[in-house]
Amino acid sequence: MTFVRPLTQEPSMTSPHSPQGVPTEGSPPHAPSAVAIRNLNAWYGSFQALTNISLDIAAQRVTAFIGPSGCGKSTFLRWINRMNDTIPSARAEGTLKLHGDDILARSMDVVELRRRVGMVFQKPNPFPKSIYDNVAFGPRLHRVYSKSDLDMLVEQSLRQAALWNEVKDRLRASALSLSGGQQQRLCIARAIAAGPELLLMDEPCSALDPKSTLAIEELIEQLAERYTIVIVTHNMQQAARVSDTTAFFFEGQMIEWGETEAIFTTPTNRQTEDYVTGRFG
Amino acid sequence: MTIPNLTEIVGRGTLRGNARRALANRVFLWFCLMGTTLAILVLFALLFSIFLEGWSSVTWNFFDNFASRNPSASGIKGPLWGSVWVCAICAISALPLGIGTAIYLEEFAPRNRVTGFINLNIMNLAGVPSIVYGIIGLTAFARMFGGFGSASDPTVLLGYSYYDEYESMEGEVVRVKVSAIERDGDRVEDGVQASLARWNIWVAHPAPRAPLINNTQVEVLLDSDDGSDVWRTAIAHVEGTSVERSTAQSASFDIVEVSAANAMKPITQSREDSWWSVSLPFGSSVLAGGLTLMLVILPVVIISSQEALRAVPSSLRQGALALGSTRWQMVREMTLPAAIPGIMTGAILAMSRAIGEAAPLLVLGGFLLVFAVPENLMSDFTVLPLQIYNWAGRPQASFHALAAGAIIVQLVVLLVFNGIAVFIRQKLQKNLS
Repeated sequence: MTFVRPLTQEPSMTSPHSPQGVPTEGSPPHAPSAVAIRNLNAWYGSFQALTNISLDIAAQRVTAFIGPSGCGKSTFLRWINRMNDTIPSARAEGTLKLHGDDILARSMDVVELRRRVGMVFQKPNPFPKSIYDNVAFGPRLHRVYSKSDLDMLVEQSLRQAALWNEVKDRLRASALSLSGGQQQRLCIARAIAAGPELLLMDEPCSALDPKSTLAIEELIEQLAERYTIVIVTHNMQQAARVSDTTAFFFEGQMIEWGETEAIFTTPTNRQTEDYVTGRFG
Repeated sequence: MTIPNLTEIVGRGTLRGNARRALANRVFLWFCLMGTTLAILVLFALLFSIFLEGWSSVTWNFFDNFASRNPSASGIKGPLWGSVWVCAICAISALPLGIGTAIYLEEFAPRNRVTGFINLNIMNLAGVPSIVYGIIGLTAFARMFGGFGSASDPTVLLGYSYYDEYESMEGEVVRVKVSAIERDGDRVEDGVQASLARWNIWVAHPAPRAPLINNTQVEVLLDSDDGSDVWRTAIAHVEGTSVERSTAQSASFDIVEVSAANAMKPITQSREDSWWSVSLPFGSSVLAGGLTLMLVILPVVIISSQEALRAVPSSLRQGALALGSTRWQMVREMTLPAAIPGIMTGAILAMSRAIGEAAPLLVLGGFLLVFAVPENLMSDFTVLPLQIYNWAGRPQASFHALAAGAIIVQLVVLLVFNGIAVFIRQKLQKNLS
């Protein structure tokens, strides 16, 4: 028996998890926000993919976006580093600020933005180069390093991505020789080697087996000590396990957001409740 | 209405005869086999007849002789080197241009109607008969729309040296280099006398090897440190009666103005070209030929490069961009290295087409008989297909044997090119994802 409450029945505006307008102060009760989103609307051509999104992404926390396929959570993620610029019909309006810098501004240098905002894709996409060159790719784009500095940078990135012990003896081997889970951790190492403030992960485990998934989840917990992480996932258990804050998206709107525990145990919105309890989606 | 169960519906269809299906299968197989066999038979018949007729012509002398009226003394030295020159010019011009265009269209250009229109046109151009490109080449390169005069009297000349030839009193002909400025009558007048000390003075005229005698009028080359040189008429002042030419510096010279009255009149003027000399319009030169072939293969190079670039997974582009690459960094580090084997394969196949083209060069006025190897961009030329065309059209059988010999050479070159393309495709094509 499925029961979907009509979209018109919004939760009351006084709810601490209000999706509309400016989030009330202290909700969720976290430290400074890394990304502040206010009234973000996004379109692909004439199709509106996101409607009035307002949200704070807390610094050095893990924020999870959940929701059924096509609800706009990946679109939202790809606006944070302007990867949607590569799609000609995509456009967005509203405010999207990374530590106060307007991401959507015409004057925003997307090259610098993407250095500050790393991204890990759904399908591991290591470059057809050596493991070393994969990790060194980002740093080399932006700066000139001495060999020893670059070696250290590669090692530290691989250590943080929990991959160093597995690959330290074959840094010159092709990255394509790694297993799927290793490839994804390599992609994470590659992303953090460029020195980002924020890491975007677009369903990073959906192409991986359970064991690799577990490894990535553990890694995300460790990385949250240093980086602000935004993860899009289809897997609600994963969101519950790894995230501090969860936002639920449905049909281009953000229905509810708040502390992960609250979203999963005491959602204020009926749709959220139906989704997290597996009644639809 | 009750719906019968699935098994029953499956059983309702009329059975197709197995024998008939098998027959259709066999007929189609034989049809395909026949097509393949026919193609191979034709190829072998061609190769057999060509080798039978032409193998005896392919000797060392065949490569070392120019074309001649005497078949036994004829060879392909002219067309072979002509082909090398024309193809080199074609490759140097077409590959960067074509690959650059493909990179722009695939990686930089916005996907809009203009780009679509350009792509459509490039595809159409690839299907245009090559003789049409010959006409374009004739108009644009050989004649330059008539804007620079005729090819026999070109307006702009670069890289040529001019000489005045004088005859000395001893009857010796002396060539004196004339700078382009002097040739036009604008002599550089000032500053020569005052700064004489800085000049190297080379005495050239008259009678270069004779001793210098006091008060003789000589031509001196004032060769300055900055590389410019000026020929002047001078009066020599020599201590004593004479001095050897090798110690010309011990003489001093008074530069005199060369007036129409006391200037020695050159008996003739001559022109000499350097390896890079170019004149506009290009005329029927190797440069015009190479550029015309560039037009022929440019669409092919663009399309094959575009296909190679398109085959690079977009996840690599996204990955590079997400790390903060600029478009150019993405192309240089990711897309281009991944696409290079495909681009090279396409480029080599395009070049093997360029080697085989005769029609556009015929229109351009490629010479059928050339008795010299091209020396610079403005040289006359012929190419192997033109030579084959020329020989094959003659009535004597001995010339047909020469044509067959040239065809063998052409086929071997093509085989080598295609072999390299296959090799690159097999060996260098990397697994990308």
